[in-house]
Amino acid sequence: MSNGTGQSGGAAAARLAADAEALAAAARAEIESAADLDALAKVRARYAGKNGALKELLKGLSGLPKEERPAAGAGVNRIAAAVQDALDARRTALEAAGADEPDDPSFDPTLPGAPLPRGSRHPVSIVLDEMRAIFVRMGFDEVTGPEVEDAWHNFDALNIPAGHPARERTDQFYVEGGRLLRSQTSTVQVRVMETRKPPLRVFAPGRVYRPETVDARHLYAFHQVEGLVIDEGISLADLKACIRTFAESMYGSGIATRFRPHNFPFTEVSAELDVSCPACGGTPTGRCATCGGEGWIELGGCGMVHPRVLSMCGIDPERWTGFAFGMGVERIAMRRWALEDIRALEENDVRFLSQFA
Amino acid sequence: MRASISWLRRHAELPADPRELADRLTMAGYVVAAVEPCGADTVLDVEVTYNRPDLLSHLGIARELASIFGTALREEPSDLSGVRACADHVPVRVEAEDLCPLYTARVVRGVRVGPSPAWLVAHLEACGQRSVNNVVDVTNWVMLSTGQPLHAFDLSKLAGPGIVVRRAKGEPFTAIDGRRLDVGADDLAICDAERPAALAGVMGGRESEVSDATTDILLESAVFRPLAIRATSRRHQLRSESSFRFERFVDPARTVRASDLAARMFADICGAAAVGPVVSAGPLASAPSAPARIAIRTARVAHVLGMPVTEERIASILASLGLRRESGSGGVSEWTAPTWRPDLAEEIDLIEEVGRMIGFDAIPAERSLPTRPLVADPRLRGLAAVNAALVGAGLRECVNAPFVGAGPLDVALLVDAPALRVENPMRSEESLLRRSLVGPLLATARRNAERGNESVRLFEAAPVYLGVGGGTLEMRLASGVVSGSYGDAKACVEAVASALGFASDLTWERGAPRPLRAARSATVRFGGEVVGVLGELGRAAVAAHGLAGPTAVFELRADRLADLARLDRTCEPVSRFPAVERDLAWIVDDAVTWARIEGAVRRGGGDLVRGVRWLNEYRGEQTGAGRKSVALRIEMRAPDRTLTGPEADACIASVLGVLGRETGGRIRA
Repeated sequence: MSNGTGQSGGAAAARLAADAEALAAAARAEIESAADLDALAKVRARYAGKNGALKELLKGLSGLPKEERPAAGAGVNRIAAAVQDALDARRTALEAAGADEPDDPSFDPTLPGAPLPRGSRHPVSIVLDEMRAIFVRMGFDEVTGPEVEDAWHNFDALNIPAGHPARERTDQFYVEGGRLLRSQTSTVQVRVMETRKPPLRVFAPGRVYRPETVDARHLYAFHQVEGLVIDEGISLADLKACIRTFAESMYGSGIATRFRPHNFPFTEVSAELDVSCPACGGTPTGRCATCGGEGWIELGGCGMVHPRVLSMCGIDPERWTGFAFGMGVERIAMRRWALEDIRALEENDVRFLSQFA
Repeated sequence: MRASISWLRRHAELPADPRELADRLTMAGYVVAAVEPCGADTVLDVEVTYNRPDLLSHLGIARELASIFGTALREEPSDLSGVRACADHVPVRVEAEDLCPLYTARVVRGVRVGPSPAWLVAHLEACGQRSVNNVVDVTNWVMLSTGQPLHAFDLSKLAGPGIVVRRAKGEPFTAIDGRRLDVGADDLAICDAERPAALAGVMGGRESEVSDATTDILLESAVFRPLAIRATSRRHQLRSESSFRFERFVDPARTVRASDLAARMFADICGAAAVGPVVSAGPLASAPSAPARIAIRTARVAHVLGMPVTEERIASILASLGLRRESGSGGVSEWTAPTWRPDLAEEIDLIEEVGRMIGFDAIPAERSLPTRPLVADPRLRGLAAVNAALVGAGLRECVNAPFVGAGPLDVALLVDAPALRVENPMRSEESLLRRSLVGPLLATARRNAERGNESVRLFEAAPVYLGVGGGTLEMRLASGVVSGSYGDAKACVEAVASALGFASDLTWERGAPRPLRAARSATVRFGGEVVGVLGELGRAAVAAHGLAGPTAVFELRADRLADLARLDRTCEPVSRFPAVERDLAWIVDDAVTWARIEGAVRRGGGDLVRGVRWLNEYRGEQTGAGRKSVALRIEMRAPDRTLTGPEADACIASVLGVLGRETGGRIRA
């Protein structure tokens, strides 16, 4: 009997194994085609659940001869484990794909985000910060000076003697007590030279005041960045190189610089400095809105510090030479953002300011 | 200075292309703002810098161009050979020698006043001047040619016996343009025996003006002190081509030459019968000033320009500009500047001329400055941190003009010193320097409200200036205006304090100056020092400032906060052990501040209390009148272990004990 059952048992074990393989193949196909977690849960119940097909299959083990049961059982279990792994892998994949939530047609991804108060720097400050970063990188220290100045720092020490037309009330805001609102940041040069010993490499951002009629191009309170370098052996070539480095840092390496001789009381040799128009690249076709067709825009004034200015600040002009430069910040900001009317920089309209953050 | 190219060509051979002339002049330092056709001629509009008065003439610009292009310069012939001379003259006396270094006058007889020849009219028109008659046109032409202003009087209208150059004495004077002026001791006048005939260097008088009936003239060629001319010109708001040149510089060495040139033209163009001798007066008439010698070192040229220039090149440039070499050896040469170049006084001036003529483009730009360590100013770092904190708090930075008028915008919150007065404001509403940034910020908020931007969060960081003891006190402030309540403003101040590393060091004391509401404002201290104020504007102030709704402001001593900032503070590790949180409601008198409650909790709980949070306040039946119930959350944590329940209980018990003693309240059941 045992033999007989044994023979029939060998065939039953083989059939069981075949059934299990078939079941597993069917399960894998359904698992792969389950589109979401709900569908997958149904597949799981059908095959691996408490009353699932694989469990049913194990019940067939009882019909096998006792000595064949362990091997056949292990085979079925291996197949069941593989199905379980496939179920888990599919579940992980579906979850990762976000299939854990049903689609929500009422969701509108274009609605504005939750309100957040947004702060912003003023465009003049943004430009100042950019210039600051460049000058600091070039080894300049930032210095500041007062806006309410005395005549010595605004004029005399800058080689603007009494009687010079720059001292007239049409060109200066005078404040009670014989003081005035500085008309140039060059005053800070003097203050630095009076208090520090060369070598010096400083820049001074700040506000200056000139009684100009306000229009689209002029404010009577505006910002400058002043630079001063004093050392042994400093020449006009150093000034040119320094300005070129600044301009290329500010506007990109394609920018060209141009130095035109000019006259300032506190520098000699003096120059106005131009950069090739950043809008048209210096080759305007017709009337470029930025440079007016000139191909160049004025960036500021510069020059070798006048030996008399050095002497007045107690620096020996035979041993030390230096250069200084000044640039207008509002003009840079205007070109930077294609701003046509400079007055927007002083109106502080929130609709204007909010364009900067 | 409008320069006619055909006129310039009388003086020098020049390239044909006007654009080339314009470009080269621009790159030599004199921007040609426009190149305009004018009939058959072309006009250059040259921007002449203040240091180059000699360029206010065709001769001067031609000389510059001749130097640039290396061509010869020709002057107008001014010899009087062939012109009939006479001995007639008018005596001249200069009383105000300090204002008039040189005065010359000569008699010209028998002119026939009439229209000018076409070429002369064309020249004047090219320069933007209208032809008057041949006599006046000659004086203007000579001025535009040489830079020496001239004036022609109708000799018959002058009361004898001579000309006196003196200060006016409160006399009436009618200028050529018909304006009646009262000229006084600050004005220099050219007077006949009776009265001023001209306002020196500025404008002639109507009575002695050359007319069609004029036959004899007195021709003036003189030099006046720039400051005197400028003062008179400004005072009487009279500006002329003459005053423009006298205000700068007129070459006294060429005054007589210009007179000669005009005399020659009176003979040639106006048919003058005879020309009298020049009569001179003034300090320079007897002792002309000798030009100073200027030494230039070849090595110094290279030192300043950053490129070597040969001694020969230096010499040829200086000679082309009219300087005269006096001596030279061993790399040093001595030069005298021409009389028309008052700007050339020392070595550096000559070095600049060499650089200009070489062209700045030729100077190399390949060097770089050596690296050096960063020297950061701690004050500036602190100020930057204040700005960053305010931007981070959602405020928009403004830049306002620093002027206010006397009135509600002249706010004073942190100071009790008078505002500095601007003596020449652009508008009367801008006659004071702001003492607080809040005034202009309120004006900005109003402007925004008027434009429909009703809710604002604005700040400004800038200095203010005050008059203190005859001197000036500068304070750098950071201030803000926010739509909302006290709490909105306080959050901004707290953001700054947190960024600077002293959130828990500030104390808040009720009350701040107007226009803040006493009952909704505070004065902020660090240690004992006042570092800020904040608060709500009263309803009346909101209305007066034209604001859209409830508004709070703050003003901080950014300079002091920056100095106090702990920007290089160390950090604290985060505990790995869990916290225990307990909430409690504490009923106290309304007058007991949150700061007192929080302080009592921290003192009572000791180091285990890591956080005390205000949750809400309640006033009602359970608290009774004049009392409030404050709900708060206490976070307790030990740095080295998980806190047990009994430890937390003991801590809370201690907290309640101190709370009771210090605030006089009780726990809400």
